Parts: sequence; C-alpha cells; structure tokens
Amino acid sequence: MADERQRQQFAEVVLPHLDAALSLARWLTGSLADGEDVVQEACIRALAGIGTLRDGSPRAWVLTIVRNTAFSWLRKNRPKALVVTDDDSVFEAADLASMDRGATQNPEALLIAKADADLLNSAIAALPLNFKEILVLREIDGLSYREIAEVVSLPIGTVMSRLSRARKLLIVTIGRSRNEAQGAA
Amino acid sequence: MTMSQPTPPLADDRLLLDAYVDGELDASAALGVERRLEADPSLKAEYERLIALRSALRAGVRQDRASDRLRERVVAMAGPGAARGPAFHRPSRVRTFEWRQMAASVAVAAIAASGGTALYLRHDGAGVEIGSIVAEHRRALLATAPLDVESTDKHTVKPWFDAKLALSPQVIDLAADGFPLAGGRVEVVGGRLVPAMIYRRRAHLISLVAVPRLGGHDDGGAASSSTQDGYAVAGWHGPDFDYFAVSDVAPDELAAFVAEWRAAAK
Repeated sequence: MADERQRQQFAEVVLPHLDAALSLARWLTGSLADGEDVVQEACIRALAGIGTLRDGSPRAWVLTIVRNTAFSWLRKNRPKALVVTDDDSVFEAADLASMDRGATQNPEALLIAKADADLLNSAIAALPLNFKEILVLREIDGLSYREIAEVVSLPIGTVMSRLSRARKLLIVTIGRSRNEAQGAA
Repeated sequence: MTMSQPTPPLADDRLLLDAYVDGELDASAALGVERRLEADPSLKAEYERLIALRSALRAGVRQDRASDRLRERVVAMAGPGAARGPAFHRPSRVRTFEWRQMAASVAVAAIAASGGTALYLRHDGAGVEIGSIVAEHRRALLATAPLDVESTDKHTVKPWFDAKLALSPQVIDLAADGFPLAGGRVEVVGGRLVPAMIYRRRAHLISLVAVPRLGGHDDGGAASSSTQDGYAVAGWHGPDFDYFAVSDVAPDELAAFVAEWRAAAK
C-alpha cells in the first residue's frame, strides 16, 4: 500500500504528464472516453508501482505504464486492433508514390503544410498501431528518440525507422487526398 | 530542365534526415546532413516535405487536455486517506465538482507534494513563494478556461492588464521564437493581484507572472531555476517587476523561453 511519501512522489511524477498520457491513450484506444479509462487504470498501476521509478525520464516511465495499460485494454476490448504490421508492402506503395515528384521545386511541400486538421487526424488514426504509437509519442507528446525507445522497449534504430515510415505514410496520404480532391473538382 | 529520374534517397539517408529534423543529431552529423541537402535536390525535396508535415501537425493536431474531472481523480488518488485508488469505472459525464472545491483539493495536493519544503526566492527581503506561483499555474490548468483574456495580440493583453490591475507589465509576443502569446490572467501571489502572461509551447502552457517591484531594474543577473512538483520554474529581476515563469515544459525549454523573453524585453 502506498504510503504518504509515495503518494507525494506519484503526484509529482504523474500530474505534469497527464495531458501526454491522455493523448497517447486516446490515440491508441481510438476514443477520448476509453483513453480516460486507460489513463485512470494506468495511474492506479503507477501508484502501486511507484517504487519501480528509477532515475531517468519520469515522463517515459509514466508513458510506459500508459502504453502497457492501453495494450492490455486493447487485448481485452479490441483484439482486432492489435494486428501490428511490419509489412513492407504497406510502405513500398508509399515509396513509389512519393518518388514520382522527386526533385522538382516543391509546391507540394506547401500543400502538405496546409493539410487540414481532419485530414491529419484521420491519416494518423489509419496508421498501423506500432507506427502510430511512435508518431504520437514524437509529434504530439514531444518525446526524444531515447525516451520513445524506453517507452516501447525497442532499439533506437527500430524507433527511427518506424517514425520515418510513419511520416512517409502521412505525407503520401495527404498527397493522395489532394489528388482525389483535384480529380473530383 | 533535365529529364533524369532523381535517385531515391537511401533508407539510411531518410533516417538521418528524420533525426536531423527532430534535432537528434550532434553538431558534426548535422553538418554532414546540411552539406548533403545542398548537394542533393531529391534529399532536399524530402526534407521540405518533412518540415511541411511537421508544421501541419503542429497546427492541426493538439495534445489532448486532461479534463478537470480526470485530473481531479488523479489528484484524489494522491491525496491523504486515499489508501486505494478509486474504482476503475467509466467516469460519469456529470461534473460533480465545482472548480472552487477542485482548486482547494489541488492546493492541498500541491502543499502535500512539496513536502513542506517551500522554496523561497528572496528579493530585497520580500519573499515570493514559488509554491504559490506553481499552485496558481496548476489551478489555471484545472479551470475551465486557463485564460482570463484570450488573445495572441499584445496590444489587447497589455491594455487589459492596465484596466484590470492598473499595472502595465511588458507584454512581448514570441511567436517567431516558437512561444506564441496565448493571453493573460490575474493571479494572487502573496495576497496581491498580479498579472500573468500565458504563452503556448506546442500543447503546453507557460505562465509568466510579473510581481511588481517598483524602482527595480533588470540587474542582468542569471535567471534562477528550480523544479517544483514536476514543474519547471525560473525567476529573474526585470525593470519594475520580478518575473517568474512556470510550466510543464522541460527545464531547458523554459530556460530558452526566458532567454528569448529577456532578450526581446531590452
């Protein structure tokens, strides 16, 4: 049972990272209400496990627990969502699509920068889970590569390649929707 | 216009490029990438796409903000007498806590969390308790709206302070440096009403509290920094005001904010 000092430590460690925790949980579960449930459950685990906190990034420690709790939740409630992919075929198409506009000066970059929020959100939601989590940790929660590697328990090289591929997929998705929009016009 | 098909960047180049964009490379590796970018148009195009994606994400996808209710539940877990965490169930959609109760419970938590070791930053014998500034920042995050006046325009925020408090701190917009002004708020520090400017950093807020110290001037001294309850705090003497910045951004990011702000204030 957590004593007074441990509860203080829990508050100090967890409260500053609650928004980051909720963001990760919301993206992994797919809904705000489920994300809140996961964060609450994760906090209970964090309080119980506060003794396992080591030197290093408290944020990574908190988000590791949130991530593990989210995966438990998915296993129980959304087993189909847990199909993770490292399948290169997803990305070969992405490589081809991004290459056809290789070196020419880049009006495309401008259009990517102007992509609207709905499109971005649906493009992130559509990423395979094991790429999505890394993109969210980096782009939305602002973690360093080292922290991300800690949270997902993977080597930094794997983190880097998944992040890179996730971004490429987003770029291609944005480009594709723009082409469709032009086709429809 | 050449018709040659550009060669795709190699996989390792892409990883380096991502690491470069993320600021994860040391100086020599970053220099290598910069030279490659100048020499290789297809790599450069890839770089521009990454930068574009980043700015779209910054603009379009916000970090979620934990609701008052969720935050209050977590605070309750840490509170005295919370021998067990609350039962894990779908929270009700009804807000059962008035914000005053919530602020009170958070203030208690803030005091508990500081373990009674309140930090004082003393100026000319007048102590300003950092704990109360952190608690105000936290209270503001809990409130339905963290801002009393919401505006990215310093010409709106400054007159608002003037009218509300008859105090006119320097209001500086640092949007160009990645810290856009979000608005202002009135805080209570040491029993006095004082202005606080609120800045955004990605999805985080930075509160910059200005405590009047009439006749004072910027002594140019280094800002003090500390952390309390997981929040980074920095304080320094400015002209006529003592400034305190508090945020949940990393301490070095807050230090960068302070440096930019002080440079712009000159």
